Amino acid sequence: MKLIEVNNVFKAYEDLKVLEGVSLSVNSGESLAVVGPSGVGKSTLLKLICGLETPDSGDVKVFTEKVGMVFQSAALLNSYTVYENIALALHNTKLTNKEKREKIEDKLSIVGLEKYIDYMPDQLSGGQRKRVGFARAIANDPEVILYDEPTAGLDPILCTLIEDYITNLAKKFKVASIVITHQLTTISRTSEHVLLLYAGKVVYEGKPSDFMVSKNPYAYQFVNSKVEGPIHIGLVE
Amino acid sequence: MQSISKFGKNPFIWLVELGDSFRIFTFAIYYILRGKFPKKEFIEQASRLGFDTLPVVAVVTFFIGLALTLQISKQLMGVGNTSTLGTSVAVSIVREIGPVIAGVMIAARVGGAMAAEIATMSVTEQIDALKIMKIDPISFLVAPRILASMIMAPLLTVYAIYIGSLGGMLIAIIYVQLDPYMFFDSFRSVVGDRDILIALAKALVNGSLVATFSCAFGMQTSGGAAGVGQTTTKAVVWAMLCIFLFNFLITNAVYSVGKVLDPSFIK
Repeated sequence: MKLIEVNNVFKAYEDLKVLEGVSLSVNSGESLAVVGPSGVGKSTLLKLICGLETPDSGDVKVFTEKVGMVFQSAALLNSYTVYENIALALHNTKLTNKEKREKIEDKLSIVGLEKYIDYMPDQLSGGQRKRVGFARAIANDPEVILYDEPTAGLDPILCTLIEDYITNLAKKFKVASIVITHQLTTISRTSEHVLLLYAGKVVYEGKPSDFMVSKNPYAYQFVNSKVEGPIHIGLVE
Repeated sequence: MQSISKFGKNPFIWLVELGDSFRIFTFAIYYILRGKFPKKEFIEQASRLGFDTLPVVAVVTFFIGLALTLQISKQLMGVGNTSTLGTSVAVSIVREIGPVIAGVMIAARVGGAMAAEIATMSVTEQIDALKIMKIDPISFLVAPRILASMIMAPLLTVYAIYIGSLGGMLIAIIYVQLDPYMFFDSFRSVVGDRDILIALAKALVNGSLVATFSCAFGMQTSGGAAGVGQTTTKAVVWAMLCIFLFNFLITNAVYSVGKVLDPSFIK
């Protein structure tokens, strides 16, 4: 079942063209990694999908109401406890307070933070905040989760842990996901499909295993971390 | 934000920002009237606005009361008419200084902090997170702040008037050696219910202006820490400008010369 469909989307901020004719689709239980150098419009694409931005032209269709998002900065409300932060995601449900608490404890146990339920965000480490952000994203049992650089700034062990959460959700609950990342391990461990963005366009599309050994000049440069190649990142020569 | 960004480098962008602030204020009032805002947030904001601003308002208005009464009493002593000292102090403090100083203090003490808080939430994607969870940030963040400001600003104004008058009375007693009863008698001769109501109305407007600019500009923020700093300055400057502007407009509408000369106006 198709959950997300993006057709020929264009987006610009004043004179800066960010996306130029991007198309993609994600089915139930499918996992897509969107990769590319910084500033090519990956986060903008995510914001278009979750409705935070509107495209200048083209269509963005999301065939479910149940969308969760894991933010790069966790985006927890600082004046609310971990419990209250996650409870915000359940504000539209008809659960009793007891049921809400049980559900939140259950989601926190998935990320191993059930003991921190009454903590304030500033009492948690960066990794713990990210895991609470993950628990909040899955609180409402979403059908699609959007991950904006979920492993950025984390140590390798925590990266593996977060990648495992993403994979387990997809496998166990058929949750579709779009993962924006720069990390090659995250691409290969969490996705079935890769989309490389550059200059607002899709320059490569394929399976992670093919992406890693691709001769496509864009994919080759990105995977092998080469400075020389078709991807220019605005370095002063 | 999207609508604003389309205007790019338009020199009249401030008009668009003001329009957006008015739109946000209107929606916030709608949510307040329907009771659709988090009560916890309201109590927290009201406490921050009220109790935290109280000492600053007290100190500032007390010294303004002292200085103002000192100046007026010197002029009145020159013409040998110190018995009307209370009248002059009352007109200055109740009608103008009380509401304006309380408004300015709220803008400086709370408005800046409020703008910085919302701006930080904006640049750290907390507002985006609320939108994704289908929570309207105007209902969740702006409405409780505007309501708290609308309730606490009049209370702070009453307090400012009281403390300012106390300062004035101290100078009247110590410097002019005026009988306190005489001071308050002349004070009460010009201050009626209408003056108090107008001072409260001014405070209500001031409170709304501070919270609206702080929240609206905060929500429009982008550009990281630099953006937060610019927003804070902009919100405080706009709030103060509008406090003085609206204070003049209300004073002009209510106390213009023709109306004050009308005997039915007093009390």
